[in-house]
Amino acid sequence: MADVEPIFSAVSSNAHHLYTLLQCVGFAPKATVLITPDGIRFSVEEGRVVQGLAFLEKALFTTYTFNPPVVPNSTSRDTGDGDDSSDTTDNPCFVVSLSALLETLKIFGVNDPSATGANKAVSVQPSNPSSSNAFTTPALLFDRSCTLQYFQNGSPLSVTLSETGIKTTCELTTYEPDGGEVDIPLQRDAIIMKVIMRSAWLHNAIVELGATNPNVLKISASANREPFFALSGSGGPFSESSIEFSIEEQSQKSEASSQSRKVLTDDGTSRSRAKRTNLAPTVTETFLVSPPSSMGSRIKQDYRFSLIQKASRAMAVANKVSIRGDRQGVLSLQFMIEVDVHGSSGASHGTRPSGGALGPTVTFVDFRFVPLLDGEDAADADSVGDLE
Amino acid sequence: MRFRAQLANAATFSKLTASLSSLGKACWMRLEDGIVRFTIIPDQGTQVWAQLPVDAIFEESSYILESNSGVINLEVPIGALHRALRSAVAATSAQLRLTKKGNVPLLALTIHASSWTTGSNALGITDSGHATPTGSVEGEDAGRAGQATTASRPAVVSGPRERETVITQEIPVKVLHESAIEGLHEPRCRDPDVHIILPSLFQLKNISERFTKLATDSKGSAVASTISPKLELSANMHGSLRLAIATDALRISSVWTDLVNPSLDPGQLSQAEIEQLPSERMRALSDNDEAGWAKVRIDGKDWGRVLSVGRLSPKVVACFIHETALILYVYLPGSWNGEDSCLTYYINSYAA
Repeated sequence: MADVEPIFSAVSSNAHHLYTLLQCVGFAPKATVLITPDGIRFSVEEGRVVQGLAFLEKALFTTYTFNPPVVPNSTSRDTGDGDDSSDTTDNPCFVVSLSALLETLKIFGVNDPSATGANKAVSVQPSNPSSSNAFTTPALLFDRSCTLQYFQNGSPLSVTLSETGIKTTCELTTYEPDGGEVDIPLQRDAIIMKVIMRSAWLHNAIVELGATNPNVLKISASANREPFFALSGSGGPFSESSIEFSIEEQSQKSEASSQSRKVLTDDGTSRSRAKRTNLAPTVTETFLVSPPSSMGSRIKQDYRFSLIQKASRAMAVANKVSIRGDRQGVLSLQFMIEVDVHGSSGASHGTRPSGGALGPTVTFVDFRFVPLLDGEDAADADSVGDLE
Repeated sequence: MRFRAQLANAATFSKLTASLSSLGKACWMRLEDGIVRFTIIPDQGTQVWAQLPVDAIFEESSYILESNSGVINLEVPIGALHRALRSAVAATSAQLRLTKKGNVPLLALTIHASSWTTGSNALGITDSGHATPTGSVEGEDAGRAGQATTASRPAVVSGPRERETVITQEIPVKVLHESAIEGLHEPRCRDPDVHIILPSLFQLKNISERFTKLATDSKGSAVASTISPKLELSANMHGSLRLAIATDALRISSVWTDLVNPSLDPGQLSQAEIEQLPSERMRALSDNDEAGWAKVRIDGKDWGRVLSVGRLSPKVVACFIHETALILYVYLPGSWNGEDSCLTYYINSYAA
């Protein structure tokens, strides 16, 4: 039986979801793929200082068959979060060209304006590569089935897209991982900062700071002193700019202490919020800062701005983001992306749940960043030394 | 030597010249009694031999052709002709004629366009001799194509009125002597192995371009920009067409099924002759036999330019000569049965 059935076979009725999730981590040409019983994990890294993980959960597919090559792996893992699946050595792991996979997934995006009934108004031009929001791209791939198959160890990863009259098959050469694929370690027991907020806020902030083309992103967070949470860009050709997420005026007297800062509180949703008892920026849902005593009351950490920008596609499509930092300064951005696998038009509603009976499936895309150390201009992958 | 004709179908003529101009700069335009031929033979790439009945683009009654041999051969800068025709698309009437300025022979395109002005005197122009903004804008556009002269004659009545603009575009051409073209012949090929009607060229073009891009991207080196990737196009006599490309990183193919393999006209060939054709041998092979596929390797960029003829929404019959050449017969809408209005593209297959 096992010799005729492929190791892995999954069918999705909507390749657009796969495209949306994968393009979030499409910042590098190659991805390391790990097939597990719970889903398929795409890991992308660059220079060992930034890593992106997209986990395509089983629930995203209409059928998902995985026949592990040697021993069925019985370890139960938490689904929806690729963090813990790296210890499964029995699961097939290989490297493919992510850019080719993404191009393949959108191969039908530009074909026939008549067939894209869900979204007639949009242009039939190929999607603008600079567009940061997958939901604004032309009606890609709706109602087209997409099959992913991996027959045996060493065989290509085959992607088949079918549509009436045409069938496209792409066989992506699989390369052996070079063994150096180590996840950037996030010390879960030493998290000193955790901020959850709408991803759009972070996206807006990064876009705003990106306008001055800075080299370094400084993150500053404090539990008891203003600014509670601030992002600033420095080291670029222009002056420094800074964005502070402040507390609503009436709940806290937040004087405009700095003329150059931008305050992002003029949002309709934040106003409807009840008065808050603890000191947390208005836009955050969770705001936990517990700096170790060596740091004082404020957490300050620097990251290379261009690396953070690699997550901007994920920021744009995600609903929420969880920003975590550990004692060593490793930054984790976990994006929650809702895709409606049950309704083909779900993705066009944006990031809000479509209100369908079955509801959207929540998936996660993770990014990890190695910090810039004090006084160091270039990020050094190996050093995870202490701070300040 | 005289040639003059009113344009009957400027839109078709404009699209035709646009498609031709993507393949080469100089076009051999041969005016005959009842037929106009356009031929492009680039140094490298696809040749086009087009023949259209006069009434496909000109008004037949106004078509005047006088020449000793009954034929006029011109070398026309096809891009300039296309740009000139663009302003004729919306015109009320347009006339094309062969003329001379000094010693330079010209094709002069005289376009009568009209536009409505609103209000009694929106521009505040009292002197009817002034050029209007409409006229000068079109004149600028025309200036890129060749020399253009513009004259406008606003009527002197008040109130909303029609304004006529006359634009003359002059395209310098070369008159070719019969000796210059006697060496040019349409390529001769053996009978095709597979003939098939292509799917929507729009769709085919998009997929082809994406494949070309995939192959270019995955190489990711400097050589990729200079060497255009080769697409593998194949078809069988069971209604299937396959477009494929392979690189180190991937191998991708799209297969169309349920296409039509047109039958040959029994009026032209006897039953015995038809049975001798290679395409009938290919038809006899089963549809899952790889030997039943005829394959050509074509240049991705050149193929994209050929497919730009899709803007004329034609029917296209592709004839595959295995590992040798691909010939496309492009029939303009409305001429499917007449077959006298046909563009023939000759595309060489590259060696593997």
